Amino acid sequence: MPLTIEEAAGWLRSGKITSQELTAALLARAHAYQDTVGAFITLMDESALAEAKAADTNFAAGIDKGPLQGIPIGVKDIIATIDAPSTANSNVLDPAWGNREDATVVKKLRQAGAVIVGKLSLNEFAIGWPDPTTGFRVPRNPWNVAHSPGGSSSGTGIAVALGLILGGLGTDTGGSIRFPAAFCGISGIKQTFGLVSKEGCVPLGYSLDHIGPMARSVYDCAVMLQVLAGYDPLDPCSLNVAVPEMLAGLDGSVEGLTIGLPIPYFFDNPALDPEVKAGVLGAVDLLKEAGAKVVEVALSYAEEGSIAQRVTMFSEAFAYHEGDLQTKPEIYGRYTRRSIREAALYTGADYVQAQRVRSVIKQKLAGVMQGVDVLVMPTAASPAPSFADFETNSTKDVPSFCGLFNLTGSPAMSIPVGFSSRGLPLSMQIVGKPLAESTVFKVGHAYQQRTNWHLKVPELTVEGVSA
Amino acid sequence: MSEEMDRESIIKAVDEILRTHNLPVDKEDYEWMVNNYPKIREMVGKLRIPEARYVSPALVFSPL
Repeated sequence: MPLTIEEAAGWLRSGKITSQELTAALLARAHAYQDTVGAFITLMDESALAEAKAADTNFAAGIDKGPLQGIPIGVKDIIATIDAPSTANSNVLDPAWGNREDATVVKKLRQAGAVIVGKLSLNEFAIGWPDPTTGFRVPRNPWNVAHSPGGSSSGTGIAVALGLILGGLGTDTGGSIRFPAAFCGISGIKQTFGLVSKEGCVPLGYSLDHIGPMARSVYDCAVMLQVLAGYDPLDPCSLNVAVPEMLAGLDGSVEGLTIGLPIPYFFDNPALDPEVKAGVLGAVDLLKEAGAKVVEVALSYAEEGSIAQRVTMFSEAFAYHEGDLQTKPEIYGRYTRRSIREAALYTGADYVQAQRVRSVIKQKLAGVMQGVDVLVMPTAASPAPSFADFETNSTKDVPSFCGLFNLTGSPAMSIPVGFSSRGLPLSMQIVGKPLAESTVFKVGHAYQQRTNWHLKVPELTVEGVSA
Repeated sequence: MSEEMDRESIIKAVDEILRTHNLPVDKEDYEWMVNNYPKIREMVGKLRIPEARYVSPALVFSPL
């Protein structure tokens, strides 16, 4: 089977495989792995095979809608689709919410000829930690099922890593694309805030939410983002700007680019796992050998910015969920209701103060970015945590290197840079200037031209199927 | 802040918050809130940075 969208697109056009064959094969794998890793909430065999047949018909007729035609794609189950229910992995969400047409992003995928194979698992309402008592499957890391796949776009991370789909949609309010990308060893980007419509997605934090692509390679993410991006009047946060050419800089070169390493908070943090640090610095060395200039920088108020992101996210989520937390809190998973209810302990002034810190950190980041093209840092402080080690307070105690860039709205991408001694993926984050996704992709793609970490597939065997 | 607050004051504050928001909680979640209230207040206290003193919040409102 092809490993990437790029490879599959070639196979489909050369006749090496049909979309129906590809889709059927991946659906079979997806079913086989369901009980082990729980990547999907709903698999859409019938509609997917019909879409694959339509794609093949188009190929045969010489109609080519672009690189996603005939490609099996998954959608995080917090984004509406016309032909499958949307649960947000929760018993709280009114099923009537999903009785609507496709979300804007799903419409765009279908218009590009993509094959929607299923709705992917997530942390309840894109927050918290899996609670088995809710009745939903607990998604598991395909590299070690005793470990978390990361959240909240857990299913997308698992399914791409295991080759159950070739690309998928995640959402990211404080790292929910980048954490599962990091923990599952794939690539994922949250682009500039407003560049992709979030219409048709259950909100978590209105001013922080992003829908974005997750795939095995940087190239595949760029291809997906080119399709997803664009102004949408149905999303009040949508940016009415020209969509950048995402593939413009993918020539394998980083000559002339300057990479900033923000040392305070991100690299000198006592919570940073030494293997993660070594992996990221090794990747930076490789980029330096490839011609990039590397400079150390300092981003002031990074810790305060992370707190501001948390206060903003939980406050906005609490505003959405307050009524249900008053009338049916017991239906939420324990960790979800506990996380969101934290915002009851904030004041209105705390929320506004968080927005003032947001103004400060945005200005500080803009100042730092004047001297560099991208920042590089770890995506997460450690490799995927084990379920046994989880504590409800862990997200507060462990520093977040991701949420800050939801606060600023900057493009930020996670790509794999190796494995820990325990066989878990390591990852780095590449952060760019607003609307400079092509530069982020350029750096990530240049790294992936020189390494093959992103092409590794977990050796997870279940009955009848292996990696 | 955590050192300044005794358990009685914390319980009083949490009870008031839960009453104001009309939020029912089970015993375990209540204990979690009481135990974490001082830490959370300490955390949000870090948002009072001097540099933000005269800065406008990153909120945009258009009357159009």
